[in-house]
Amino acid sequence: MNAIKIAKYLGIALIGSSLLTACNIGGKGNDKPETPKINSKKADDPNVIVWLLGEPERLNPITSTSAHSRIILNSIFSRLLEYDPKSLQLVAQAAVKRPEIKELNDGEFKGGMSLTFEISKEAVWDDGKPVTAYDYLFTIKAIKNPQVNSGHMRPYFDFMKDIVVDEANNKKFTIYSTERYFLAEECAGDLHILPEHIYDAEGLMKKFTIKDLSGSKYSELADNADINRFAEQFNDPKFSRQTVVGCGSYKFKEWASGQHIKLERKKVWWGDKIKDNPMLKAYPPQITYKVVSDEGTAITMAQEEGLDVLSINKPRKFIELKEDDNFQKLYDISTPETFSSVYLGINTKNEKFTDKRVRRAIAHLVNKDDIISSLYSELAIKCNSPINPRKPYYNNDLKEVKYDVEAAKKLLAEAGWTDSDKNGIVDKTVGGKKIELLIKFKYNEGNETRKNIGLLFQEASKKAGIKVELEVREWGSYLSDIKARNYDVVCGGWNNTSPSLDDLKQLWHTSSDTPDGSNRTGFGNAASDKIIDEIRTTFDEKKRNELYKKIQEIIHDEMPCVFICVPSACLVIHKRFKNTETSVLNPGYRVENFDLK
Amino acid sequence: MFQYIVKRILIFIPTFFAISLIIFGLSKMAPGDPVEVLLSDGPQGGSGGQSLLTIEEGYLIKAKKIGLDKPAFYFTFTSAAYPKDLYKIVKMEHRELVSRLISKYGNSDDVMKYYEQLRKVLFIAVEIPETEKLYDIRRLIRRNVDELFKDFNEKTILFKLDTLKKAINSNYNSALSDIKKEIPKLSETFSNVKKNVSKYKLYTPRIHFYGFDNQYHTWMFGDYPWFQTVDSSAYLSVEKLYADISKLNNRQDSISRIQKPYIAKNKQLEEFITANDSTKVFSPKEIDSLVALKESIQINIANFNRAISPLLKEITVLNKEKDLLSKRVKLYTGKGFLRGDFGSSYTNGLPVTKRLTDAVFWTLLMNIFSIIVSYIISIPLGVQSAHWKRNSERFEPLLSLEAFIGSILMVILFYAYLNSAITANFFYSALISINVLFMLFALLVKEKANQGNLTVNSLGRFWFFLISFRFMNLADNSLLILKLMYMWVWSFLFFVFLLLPLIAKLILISIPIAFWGIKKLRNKVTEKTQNFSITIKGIYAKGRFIDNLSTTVLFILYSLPSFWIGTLLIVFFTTKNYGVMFDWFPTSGVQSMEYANNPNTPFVTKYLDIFYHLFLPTFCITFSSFAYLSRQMRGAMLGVLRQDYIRTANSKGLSEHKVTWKHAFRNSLFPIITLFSSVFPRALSGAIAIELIYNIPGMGVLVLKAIGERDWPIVFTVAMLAAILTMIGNLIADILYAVVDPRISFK
Repeated sequence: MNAIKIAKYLGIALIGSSLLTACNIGGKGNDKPETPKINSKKADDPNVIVWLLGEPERLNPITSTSAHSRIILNSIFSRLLEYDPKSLQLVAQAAVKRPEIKELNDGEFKGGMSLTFEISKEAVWDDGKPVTAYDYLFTIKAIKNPQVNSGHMRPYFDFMKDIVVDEANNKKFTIYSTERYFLAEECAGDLHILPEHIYDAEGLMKKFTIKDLSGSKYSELADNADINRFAEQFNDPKFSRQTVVGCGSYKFKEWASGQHIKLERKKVWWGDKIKDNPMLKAYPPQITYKVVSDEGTAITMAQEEGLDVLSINKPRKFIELKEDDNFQKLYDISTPETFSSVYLGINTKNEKFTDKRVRRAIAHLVNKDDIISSLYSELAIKCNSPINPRKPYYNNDLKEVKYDVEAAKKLLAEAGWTDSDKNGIVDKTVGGKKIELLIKFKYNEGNETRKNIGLLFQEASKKAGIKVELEVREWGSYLSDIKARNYDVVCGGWNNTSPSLDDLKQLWHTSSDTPDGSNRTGFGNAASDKIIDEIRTTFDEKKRNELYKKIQEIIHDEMPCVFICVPSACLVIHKRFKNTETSVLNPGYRVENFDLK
Repeated sequence: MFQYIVKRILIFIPTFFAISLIIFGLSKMAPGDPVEVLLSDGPQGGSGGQSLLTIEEGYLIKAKKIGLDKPAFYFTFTSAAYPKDLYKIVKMEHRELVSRLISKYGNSDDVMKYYEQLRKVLFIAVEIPETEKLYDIRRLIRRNVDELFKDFNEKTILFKLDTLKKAINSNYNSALSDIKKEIPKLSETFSNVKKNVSKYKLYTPRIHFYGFDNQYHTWMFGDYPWFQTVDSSAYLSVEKLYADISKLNNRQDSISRIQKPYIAKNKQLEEFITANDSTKVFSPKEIDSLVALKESIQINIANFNRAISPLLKEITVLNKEKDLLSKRVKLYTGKGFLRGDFGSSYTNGLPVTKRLTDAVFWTLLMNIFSIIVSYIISIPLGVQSAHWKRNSERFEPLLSLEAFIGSILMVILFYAYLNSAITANFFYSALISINVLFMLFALLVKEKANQGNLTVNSLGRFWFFLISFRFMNLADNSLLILKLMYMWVWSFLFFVFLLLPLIAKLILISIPIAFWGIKKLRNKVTEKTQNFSITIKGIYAKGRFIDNLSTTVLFILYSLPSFWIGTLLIVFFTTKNYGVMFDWFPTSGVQSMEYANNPNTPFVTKYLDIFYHLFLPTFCITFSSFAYLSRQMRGAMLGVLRQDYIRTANSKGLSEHKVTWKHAFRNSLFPIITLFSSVFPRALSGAIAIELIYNIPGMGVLVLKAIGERDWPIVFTVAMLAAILTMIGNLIADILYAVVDPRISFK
């Protein structure tokens, strides 16, 4: 070859490679002399900007179903009781103190209970009118109105059969119930109070009593003209996007559609007069909730200090941020545990899965340690039952179902599944027909973690002779398939936000095993139903814990679900604020407490 | 021509209705039940606690509200088996069951009887008390009945009916007496269905007419009267009555609330007095005062009652009147699509028009800029490319002197602004003045080229030319805009070069020097292959070199995916990660938060801010369109320039500029006009990937979210609008053909 030619090609190669390295050097080289200073450019900015992954569809505490709206509503509306993030106990916010609870043994509500609340003397609405029991009464009536879109909330207020306002003091009232519901205090207290004179200016609901709305004539009310008129006005976008008025510390200022929602601290607020209640503190003069639908963009914005508070969903990205020095200088990163869970639901109605040994075999094929370390980067804890492991009544005696392919094979053989035709997949003769054990693993589109759980499960199942096919469905179809019980094994998650006692009725009672109910796996028998019902009315803690442990044993034995883990939240908060301790509650921070250092 | 337009518009109308029929048909076939979507229970929650009757009634009322209790179309063309009033079964799931069974067995009466009986059994089944003894059988019955509502397979239906019968017969509990009577009837009705199979009915065609009160008509035309004025007096009176009643109601209520403590005190006193009466603890004076106190309280209570009772009476009277009037009020579903009433979104109840206008604003802004920029650049670029190809040996300016000076000035300006050495106002005014001066200079050069030497006379002509607005003849002067954009490209390159670190600068300079050196070494630099000519007037390159260079650059741009470039641009130009100096643009969103919804921001600031935010996403949408538009233009131009009449024009002595722009240009516009017809629907649809990355709440994201949330009013309205715009675009393209080419007439 020509020497010149060699020189030419070498030269090109040299220049090309130096260009590539120059790009890299160019990047890092610029970083060193010009890193952003430790004192950020927002050191004096007391306003908080919170990241919202999705825009809430409405800001009405009763008709809103979106998870994103709750945090915003907590700042605008006051509740009687709130959970203290440190002690995880109910603490009075708009109420004077925790309610007086009495068990009733005679009278109209024999065998039931009563709760007496008193609203704080200083509590007033923005226009000066006092917050009274009638406002709380109105809120409950609005929920119970059959035409208001509050179907998701109504079951929690079923126990309220009557509310009587104290004759002498119109801030005091008593809730009566015919059953002794153990979550009564939480359900009654953790409710956003609506102002009656704003949301029901025509006074349409005034003539209905709670008794009417809870009684047997309920279905006749659905036709009532006033009920319908109120529901139409209440469901209207006006009360979801324009008129959002509460007695909380923040005023709803503006909502730029698709962009952000702004809240402004009220200059004159009744809660400022009460000095020693930590639930009535609110520091930031303005809170903005910025809607950014892409997590990558949100992280980029955070690096530019465009967002102050983020809750990151992908643990991998989180680990990357932890290792970024510049980011660490500006933001505090914490991973508090949560009350959510990830599980594999098995359709017990399907003829393949009616035998609990088959379900147990499936549980043996899920490698929880591997999932937690590789998919959650160790930011999750193992769990064996529907109860969160940190709760006092979690059954620690439950034996964990370890990842064991041999045990799975043995269980399958016991249940009658053998590989009779030697094709690698076990089969069984059911009702005269030979069927192979083919499992369709369903998950929702876009969720990489669940897809990877499915892939790991697929590999392990192959070793045991089970064929697994992954089925991805778009979110809407995913939910409707689950509702129609049209699945074999589904990977899902629950986000129970309450730190209090679990009411297992919604998920594990057979009355929820209907097309409209949430008992998706079809679990339940007379014994388990009895225990669940008994828990709901047991106030003795020791006895209740025993019952909880028993029901967990039953669920563990039947194994309608494989409980995989409880993932931790990944929270990023700007360093310029103090009082940013995170907790198990959802969301893990209390944005009203953020004060400039 | 006018006749042609009228004819086209007349054809437009039936096409429009045909498309609306297709979209309506699609909406009927769309999965999911829209009533279920509207009922905010959502697919996850239960409609807990309510009785079955209330749930059904709620469903019916919601369905009536969105007009789903009407028949679908003016007529149906079915078989004799299906009854005319099948649409009256409002619940979608049940209607499907009945129609499936009918399609199997053919006898609608028996199937309806079976369905009615099934419903009866269901309503009795939910009444079975929840005791422990009845637990298992209750669950069994409930489960089987629920599944029967979805089952139309004969074998499994029989199996389930059998299970039910067996379960009932083996249980002797008294609570099951009702259901014991109904379940055998259920099996009976089903066996009737099987017995009276009349499959022949499925093959006899039948047309049922439903008249104008159907879903399609209400959607398209609305049921609000077209020509009569609506008598809303009843409605207005009812509203006024509601207002009056509410005032009275509130007043009465507040009085009784004030009265309450008095009643309580009265009761307290009475109890106290009766409790202490017998013991005679008090002295007569004390007893007297207590009685006096009690009397005064009772007087107060009586006063309140006196205030309340007339109010109550009036409320009753008004209520009666209101009830009477309400019966006369007629509520209309809507005005219909043709009058612009697109319905309400299922997710948050807002009218579709509002959601669309909010989103369309951003999308339209970006798309209009993008279209203008891409046409203004691509068309002259295409024409120039054709010239470069035809004159491959002629030297064209690669970097002319004026472009060099202009770009250096701009670079200095940008650098100063980036370092905050100058104010924003100075920056903008200086920027505008540099560009205007450049344009004027380029105009001058062009006029000189056209008219020979630049004399005083021609200066006067030039001045006259300016003020007579002939420079608005865009095609003629589009080359100037191209030159301007080219200067911007050079200034961008110089600016980036300036900001790069020293190593990168050295490497970048050394590349052309290395190439030049190697070429010199090999002594291959000859007259023929000399591609460059560097003079004081600037760097000139041969036409063929520039043509190849521009083709390469355009194709590279075309091949880069816009979403990837979008993410890269965010990382490079909006953050400090790759150099503090490169943080030119805001990260995302469409506006700074302080300007959104703020009525006090001046117009200029607000729109400058929006332009600043939308620059990068608009660039991402635009850059890949340069390639195909300019190539189309170039191809058509080359074809036209080969023609004989062009040779004639050249030999006549016309300047090249005139030949190109006056004669050849119009004839090569055909492909451009065809592409232009797709501009209209494109303007409305958003680029979904770009909107997601840059967090722009535009049309793309709106439609995507609506499909995911099953929000059909939005999806179908957008589909209809896209269809309409496509037709308008085609019409305009056809008219433009006639305008551009006089050979085309529509006789």
